[in-house]
Amino acid sequence: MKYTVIDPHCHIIPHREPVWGWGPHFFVEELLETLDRGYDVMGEIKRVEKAIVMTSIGLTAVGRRTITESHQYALESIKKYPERIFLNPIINPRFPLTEQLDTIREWKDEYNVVMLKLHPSMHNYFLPTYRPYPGEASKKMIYPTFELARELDVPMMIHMGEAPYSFPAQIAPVAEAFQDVHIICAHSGANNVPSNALDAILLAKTHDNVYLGTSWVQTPELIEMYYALGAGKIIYESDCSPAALGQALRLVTNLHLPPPLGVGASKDEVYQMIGKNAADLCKIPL
Amino acid sequence: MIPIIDCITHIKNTEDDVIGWGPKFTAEDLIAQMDAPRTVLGEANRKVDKAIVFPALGDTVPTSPLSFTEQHSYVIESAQKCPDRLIGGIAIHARLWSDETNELVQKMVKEQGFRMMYIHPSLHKYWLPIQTPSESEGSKQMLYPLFESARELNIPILIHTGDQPYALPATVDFIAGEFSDVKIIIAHLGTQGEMFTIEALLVAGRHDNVYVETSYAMPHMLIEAVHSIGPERVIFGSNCPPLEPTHQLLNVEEALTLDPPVGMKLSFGDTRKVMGGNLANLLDLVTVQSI
Repeated sequence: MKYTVIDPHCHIIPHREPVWGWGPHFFVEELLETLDRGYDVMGEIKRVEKAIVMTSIGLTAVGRRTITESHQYALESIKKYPERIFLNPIINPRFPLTEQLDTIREWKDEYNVVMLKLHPSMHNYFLPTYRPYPGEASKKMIYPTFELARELDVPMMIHMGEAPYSFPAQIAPVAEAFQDVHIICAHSGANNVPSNALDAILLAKTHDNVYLGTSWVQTPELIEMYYALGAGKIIYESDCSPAALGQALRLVTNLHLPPPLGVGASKDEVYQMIGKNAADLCKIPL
Repeated sequence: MIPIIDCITHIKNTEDDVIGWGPKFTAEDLIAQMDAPRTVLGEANRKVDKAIVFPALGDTVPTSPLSFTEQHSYVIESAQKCPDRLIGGIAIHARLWSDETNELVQKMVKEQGFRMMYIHPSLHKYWLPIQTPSESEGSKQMLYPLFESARELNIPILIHTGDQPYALPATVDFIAGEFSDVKIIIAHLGTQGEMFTIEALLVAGRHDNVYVETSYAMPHMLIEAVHSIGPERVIFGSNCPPLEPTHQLLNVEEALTLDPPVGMKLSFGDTRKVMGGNLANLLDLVTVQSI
């Protein structure tokens, strides 16, 4: 097994984030410097080899930009550093959808597209529900994005963490409708309500195609996640920026420690969680 | 040198089946964690100098068959064995408060070096005093003697926060005003199962005697804390176990010292205050040296 660290959840932006407000910028070079800083991974100093980047979410929500406009800086960055960074384009299904999906289709190979991203909170929609209202309207918006994920054979990352649109259990209907599409539940829903991760664990335990991201998750819930799901469904992610990468990585590598601070996970299991799972799902060569 | 002091740790030589960690976490385990190899603010092999050590909270719940003394016996023994590293903390179930308990607390502080009380409204099932008389009178009768004792002994009270319905940081507001000469530390920055950090900072903003502790805190909320109330009232704690001190120190270091947007580029000097200087002052440990 190759012991490689991959961060599948990063954001870059050359100016202040228009909705969240963080700034003044997080250039791709700042990200690379962060990846290269050197982190203590079970006693060895390691860098993060590769990252999957997104544009800032706010650019896709306000200002009515086309997908090309909102992703301009991310696209330029991929062109500059194609060996280190990969693209996770953000789809706002409330903007013209066909144009976005066609554009992503064109980007697939040229811009290292390895995943797709949905953000129900930022874009104000419910994922498909079992009930017809708002389920049917939601299906019209969301199913085409999943069909594209299936066509491109890439996973779908879905932001989770806030009322009313982003509770992990809300992923269940679409996960059942697209059982052949891998879904990463970003943050395991824990970014504002840490105990949401317990719902995410139940979701992943009952849906084979659901995986859980670890950014913003707290140690007790991560430990529960390991025992409930095993290392194969846990995916390290930092959400850097704005979150700090080192502490996010340390959270997961601490699973190597014996209880009560960790679970005594093996070195191979830890590297599954901090690299191999993401690489396998996104088909990133290690 | 400014020491690193951990505001909240627990030890027990068996599992804590209420909080839910195990199989054990002994004083030796804790010291091994304090001494674990780590780099802090550019300094390699930086140990945690001292830790406030509390009993496992599960031993203090209303259903516990243990007396107050039995609940604390392992902490007393461990703090006496390692007086340079471990400072005893009293996890007091307020419903057990009595004249006899008060005498024991006085002895623990005056003779055995204990320096902090910890109350846990969620675990021990009570409201902090609020405005509504029907709920508040019982709470005042239960908690005021405890706060008076803390005032007399000049020790801070750490209050668990982060869960509904008993541990909302806003409910610290009333008693912080009533006992403005007692130092109160809001544990976990209001973050456990849910995140109530902004509430915690609003309370701290209203009361100079209120501090906040950093375990479980979200990184961006650490930044908000320092911007809200300054670095002097933010206090590092690991809540080990189940959290790991190195992880919790790194959380503080990255959030405070890295460049924006990941951090806030706080000076190392101010960050060291958060990591230990503030607590040293609060506990009158100003002469302590880093080991």
